[in-house]
Amino acid sequence: MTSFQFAPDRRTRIAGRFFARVRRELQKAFLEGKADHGLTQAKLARKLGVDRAVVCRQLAGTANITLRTLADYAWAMDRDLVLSMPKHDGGANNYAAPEDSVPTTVPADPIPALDSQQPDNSPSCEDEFVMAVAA
Amino acid sequence: MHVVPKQRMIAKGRVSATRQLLTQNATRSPLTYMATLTKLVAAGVVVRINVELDGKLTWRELYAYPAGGQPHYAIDWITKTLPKLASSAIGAEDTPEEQLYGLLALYATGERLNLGEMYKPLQPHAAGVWELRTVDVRIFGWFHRRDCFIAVFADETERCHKHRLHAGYRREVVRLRDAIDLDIPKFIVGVHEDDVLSIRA
Repeated sequence: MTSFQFAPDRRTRIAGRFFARVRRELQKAFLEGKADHGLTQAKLARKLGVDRAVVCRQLAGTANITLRTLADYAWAMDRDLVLSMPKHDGGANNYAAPEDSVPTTVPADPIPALDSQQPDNSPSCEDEFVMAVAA
Repeated sequence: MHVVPKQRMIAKGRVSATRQLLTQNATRSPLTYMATLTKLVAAGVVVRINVELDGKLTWRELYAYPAGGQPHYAIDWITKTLPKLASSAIGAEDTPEEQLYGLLALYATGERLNLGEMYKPLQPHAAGVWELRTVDVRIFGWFHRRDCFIAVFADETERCHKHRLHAGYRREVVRLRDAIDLDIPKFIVGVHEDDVLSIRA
């Protein structure tokens, strides 16, 4: 065996990507708030009217988050929520990188622009949620 | 023209000392016989993991030790143990399989991963051992180069904490990495995002 295909069923894939993105965006927004103006879990908890342990668990992903909770986090961190659900085009997988190659270009701005989260005409759009917490 | 066999030339000292030294080094120096990752894949020493991305392009590379090794070798664990973990042991809404797939999909497509939350270097950093992290899953391995992670072991987060397995996994990763014939430098030492990952535009 020279390669291994990690391909759970599509339902798992959509859920996996969605949860990972939501968690990443939430953590990223918090870390940016921490770096920019000293946001802490305690401050966030006070603003949301919950215990700090709840915020800690939710940011770590060990407690469930409802849509209401997500919206409250966006409010508490002075962010907007962007959610889209583009159509899936059924595109086949395409492994572009040869085995011994490395990407050679690094974008100047590593943080994707907010517009890049919007549905576009690219051939790789999916019928899944894409979520971002926008500043 | 009279052709002198090579062995007789060496025996008679008619091959230069430099040439003999080069010949010896070709079989002794690790710099000359260590293999590229591609050769190790062809030889079955490591296996490339292709993450199903539903049409998106692969940006970062992912390799692992092959199945049939130990239960906690990454591929064995992903194929045999992970599907049986029906729900999160720690309380997350998504299953461990969804968590790992989500993380590897973000990794493979070149998206930003939160350092510390989704991947982090293990102490001591000089060992160059990293873990990919989800709420319920830990993958231990090293970055052979930027955007190229070699996964060695996988385990449940709760088990790692309960039995304090991090140091043991770190030592085993180093031991296995030392034993593998891979181009030097075998691994990246770093602690920052830019050290090991580039971000797709």
